[in-house]
Amino acid sequence: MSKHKLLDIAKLVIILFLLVIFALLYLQPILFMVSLSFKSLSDIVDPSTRWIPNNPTFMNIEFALGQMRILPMMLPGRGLWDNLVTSTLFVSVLTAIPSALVQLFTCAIAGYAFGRCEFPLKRTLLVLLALTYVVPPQTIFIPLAWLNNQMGFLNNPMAFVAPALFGHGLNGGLFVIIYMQFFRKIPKELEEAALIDGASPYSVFLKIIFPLAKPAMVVVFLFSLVWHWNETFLTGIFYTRIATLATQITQVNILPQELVQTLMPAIMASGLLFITPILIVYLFAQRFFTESIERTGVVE
Amino acid sequence: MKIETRNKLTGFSFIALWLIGFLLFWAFPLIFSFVMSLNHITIQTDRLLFEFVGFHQYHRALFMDAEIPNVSFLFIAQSLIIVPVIVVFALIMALMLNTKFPGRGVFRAIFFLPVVLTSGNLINELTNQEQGTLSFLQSTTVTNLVMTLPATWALAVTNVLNSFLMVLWYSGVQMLILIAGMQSINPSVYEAAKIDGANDWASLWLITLPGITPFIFISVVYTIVDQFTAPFNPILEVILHHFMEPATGYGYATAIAWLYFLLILIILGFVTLIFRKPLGLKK
Repeated sequence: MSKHKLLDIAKLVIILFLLVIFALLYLQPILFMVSLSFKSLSDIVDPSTRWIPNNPTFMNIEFALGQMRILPMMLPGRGLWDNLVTSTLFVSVLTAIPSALVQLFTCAIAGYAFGRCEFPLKRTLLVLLALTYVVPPQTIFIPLAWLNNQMGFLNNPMAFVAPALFGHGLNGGLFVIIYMQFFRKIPKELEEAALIDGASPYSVFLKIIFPLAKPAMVVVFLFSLVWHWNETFLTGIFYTRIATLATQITQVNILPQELVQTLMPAIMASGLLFITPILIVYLFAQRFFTESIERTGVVE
Repeated sequence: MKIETRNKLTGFSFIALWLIGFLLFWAFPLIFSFVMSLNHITIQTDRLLFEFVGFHQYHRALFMDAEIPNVSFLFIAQSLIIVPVIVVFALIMALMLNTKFPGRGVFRAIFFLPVVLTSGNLINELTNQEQGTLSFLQSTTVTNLVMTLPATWALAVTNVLNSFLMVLWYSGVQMLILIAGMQSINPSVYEAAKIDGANDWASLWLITLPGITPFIFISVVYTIVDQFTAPFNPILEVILHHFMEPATGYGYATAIAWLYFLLILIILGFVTLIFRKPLGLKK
């Protein structure tokens, strides 16, 4: 018995040891980014300063705030909207939050249809659902840009919200599948009882089934938020006159090569500004998030 | 009206919105882009000029363009390294994170953190600052070893090694999927096995791994799809380059993009074929 216990402890120590090493490796780029963001010029030249700057400075952050165009340029004689969209932070928030909220609901409707309802051509549509998940956006971005241009959605977050309204949008297929898997596990009796009581199928979905899907909602909302926040390809195509934080980072990189070396701390500070909002959301939501993923079983 | 018909109508009303969206945002763009790939497109000041060339651009991409086979090989070689590395790493981490110990929540938070950080531009910045690699992988011993490989493979291995840590960063979602899979196994199975004298090693191979095979399959598929748009993808660079190039234009770029899409479908089909037996999908 005691030999068993000793073995268990030894195993635990090895696991913890490995986890600590991997955790440090994992965090190293982020720590590097944070450390460099606050280094002054004297700290960069000083080889003895590795992680903690001797003369910490906010200069890099200040520079990055300007370079990343976080704050709107309020010019007189221009509409409020035109002024606000000069802020990358505003564009990022307005792209990510509405799309995520809309997908949270519309993908649930489609997921319910696929998971619980019968309709003609269901098998074919399921194959098409899987297909939407694997089509590379590079194949279809020109027709999509044309479509957005026709509807006047270029340089407007509607370019992302519009497909989301139909249960599509960025990774919409994956979200529909997550809801589908979740709804499949809910006992059928729940719906049947409500239907016998005279409720319509729509109010059954709205009042009984959808509220049950909270764990799936958390997963879909957070993933949607994060993926819209991080998107660079489609935002780069649909937003020609405006920019999100994620696309603005490359603008810092266009600087001449000699300058990039000296501006390295400023570039890292830009990255820090970009990840901070989503990092704050993650810190608040992560426990709920990981628990939800386990409860939804994501995909089976 | 028969109940069955009414049920079907209700079901259809639930899927109708999605179906309209599919026609608008998937079917139409796919058909449009396929037509584009059959045309040589020149950009006029106010419109696009289409000139029908049939499958010529596909033929050209497959047999006449020297760059495409090279880049495709590089992409496949890189994927052959990256996908197993990510899935095996995620599996090991999931096994460790699934054991009970104090502070497990903190570790989980750390290892899922990159899920929210994997934005192409940010990853590129970090790789440029040589933060994407692990220093021992850049030692001369490793470099010399890599150089003994055939040139194309050496390039693939070097690319992966130079961004190895970033590759590991892409394993967060897979860890979540695999942990969810491990939790779906009934704990009483392990207890029964323990009573029958099985040790942890045997339970891992005989209970855990067979139990999570569907989840491993999903992780592999997710990883492959994730690689399409990953910043280390060389094919995407070629496609985007041709979009900007007036001589080849949208038509040729779209033809390559379609071939790329087919390549992905073939790879996914191949993976499904490998997993058919362990998944019990013998049909």
